[in-house]
Amino acid sequence: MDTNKYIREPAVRLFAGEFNASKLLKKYSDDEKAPSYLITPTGAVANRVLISGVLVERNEKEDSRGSKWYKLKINDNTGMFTVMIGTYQPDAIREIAEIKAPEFVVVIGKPSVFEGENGSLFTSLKAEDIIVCDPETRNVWTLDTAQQTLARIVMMDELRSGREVEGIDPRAKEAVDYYKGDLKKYNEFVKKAVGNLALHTA
Amino acid sequence: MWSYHMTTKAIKERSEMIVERFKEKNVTIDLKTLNEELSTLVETYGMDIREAENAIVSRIAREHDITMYTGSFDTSVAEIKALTSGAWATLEVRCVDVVKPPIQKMEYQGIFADATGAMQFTIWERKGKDAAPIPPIVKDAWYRVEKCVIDTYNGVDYIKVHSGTIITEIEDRGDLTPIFTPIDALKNPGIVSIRGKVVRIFETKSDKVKCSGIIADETGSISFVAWASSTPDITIEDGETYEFRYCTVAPNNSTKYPGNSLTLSNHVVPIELDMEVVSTAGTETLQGNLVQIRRGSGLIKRCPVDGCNRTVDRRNFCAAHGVQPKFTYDMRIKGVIDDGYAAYSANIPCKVTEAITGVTIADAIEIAESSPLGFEDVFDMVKKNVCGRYFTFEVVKYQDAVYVAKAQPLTFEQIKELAGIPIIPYGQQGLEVE
Repeated sequence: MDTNKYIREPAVRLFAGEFNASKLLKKYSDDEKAPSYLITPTGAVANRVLISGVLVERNEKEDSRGSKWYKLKINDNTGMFTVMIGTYQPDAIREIAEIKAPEFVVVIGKPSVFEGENGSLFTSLKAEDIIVCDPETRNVWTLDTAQQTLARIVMMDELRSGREVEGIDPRAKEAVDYYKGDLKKYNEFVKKAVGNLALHTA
Repeated sequence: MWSYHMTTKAIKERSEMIVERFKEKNVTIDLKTLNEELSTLVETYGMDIREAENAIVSRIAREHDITMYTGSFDTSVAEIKALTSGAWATLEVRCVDVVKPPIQKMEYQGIFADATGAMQFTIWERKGKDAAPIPPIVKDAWYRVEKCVIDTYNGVDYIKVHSGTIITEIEDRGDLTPIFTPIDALKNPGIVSIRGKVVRIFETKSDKVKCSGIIADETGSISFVAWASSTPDITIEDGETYEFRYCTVAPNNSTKYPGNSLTLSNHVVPIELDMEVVSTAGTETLQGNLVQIRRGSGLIKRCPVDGCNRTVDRRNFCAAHGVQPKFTYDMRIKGVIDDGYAAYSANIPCKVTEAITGVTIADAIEIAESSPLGFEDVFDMVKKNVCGRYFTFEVVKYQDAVYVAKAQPLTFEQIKELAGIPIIPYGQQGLEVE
């Protein structure tokens, strides 16, 4: 890769159900500042994620030095995203100061995976921006995410069957060995999210 | 091109030229004998005139123990279109542009054109005492250029006028109509003429650049630059359509926008073309989310110096022109459009920014001038109104950057149709927050 050229990482569309099932966070360089990528069960390679849903919890906290940070819960009808905002997210921390739950929001952020005390892995999102939106934007996001998730399920099905898929990020193949569960689960998330639209859009 | 059926007159001219060439070497040749010999070879034996000439010249040169150039030098007039690097040629051309040479060792630099095309020329400083003097090279005059060489610089072929090249002014043959090329056909480096609309003017970051931006036509778009040194008087307006004659297409060195770009000549002629057709020309549709609004979006101030257009800072300081209390206001969004597969740096001009944010530039100026934090307030408004939202953008793509010509919110109804995913209830789940 041309190191002189900065290429911004696209924001992958992920439902909370799949996001929370994603536990493989990888770096492809020894450099401390090298970007991390969340490899998801359907083979998304995400350095950045775009989510939308309802902000249902907004917990304001303080660290040992008295700096504020926030732990948010955002629901998209397939599960609950955990979103963190600290002083290293200067735009988002300004934005969340003015937002109260419940509210429709869009969040653009970077995924991270922590290991809990009992060794279990826990995936969350560090928000770069959190913006209040209308239900329309959430609905558009839901269909956009449904489309992209379905496309990945098809791709992963091919990869799991040992077939090559043209034009994909080769890192997606790492999901084949790491995740063994039935892909139907992710199809169910799509059905759930889209099914909810049937109830809330006329 | 010469044929076997040479006229007697042409053969006589060639003979005279050969006599002249030997005269330069202090060798006297009898014109009548030479003329007879040449016409026999050409007319009786059907030899190509150049072959015949070379045969005679090399024989006489051997007889007199001198060296004469007898390569495939062609004194017939060549067409610019047919020239390739390494060729020696004689041309009859119009000088369509003369610019200040970038280095002192060059006497002139500019563009020669004939009916078939155009090519850059460089006339090097004449040093040797044998160097043929050259007439003054002026724009729009016609010249015969003998024994020039086609060379390549930075991937672009050019006419190299060296000390052996003979340039003579010839009678004015009038204006030339350039051949206009569609932008998507601009694959090879060289001199081209295009008709196009300026769809973007970049902020000038260097004094060396007079103006730069993107030109689009019905087939595509390309970046352009007009250098302050060679085109100091050029005026290019955003949204206007022009004939850009005799531009140079060359690969640019930009790592941000690799690919070919155009260097404009002084031949830029505003034209009237159906604006509706051209305004969407070169654009493509991009559906995505405006995932980031960068600093520098919202209301900005620009340097009012003609052709500068840089943004000035909070103290109204322009990096090139100092403090500018009479700045002009502008509104824009510098953001990122993301479709989930790629992220594009987006430049959204005032009109489109007003349309999607619902904030007019007049509103923004009022906010900015009535509050010390007015600019921040405008930025926040813009961001809250459009960040994280989906739009259908009409863009001019430019590697990973796009210029937004139009934008409309992407509605649920539209994406429903596009996605083709059946929307049917799944169990009884509602919002868990309810």
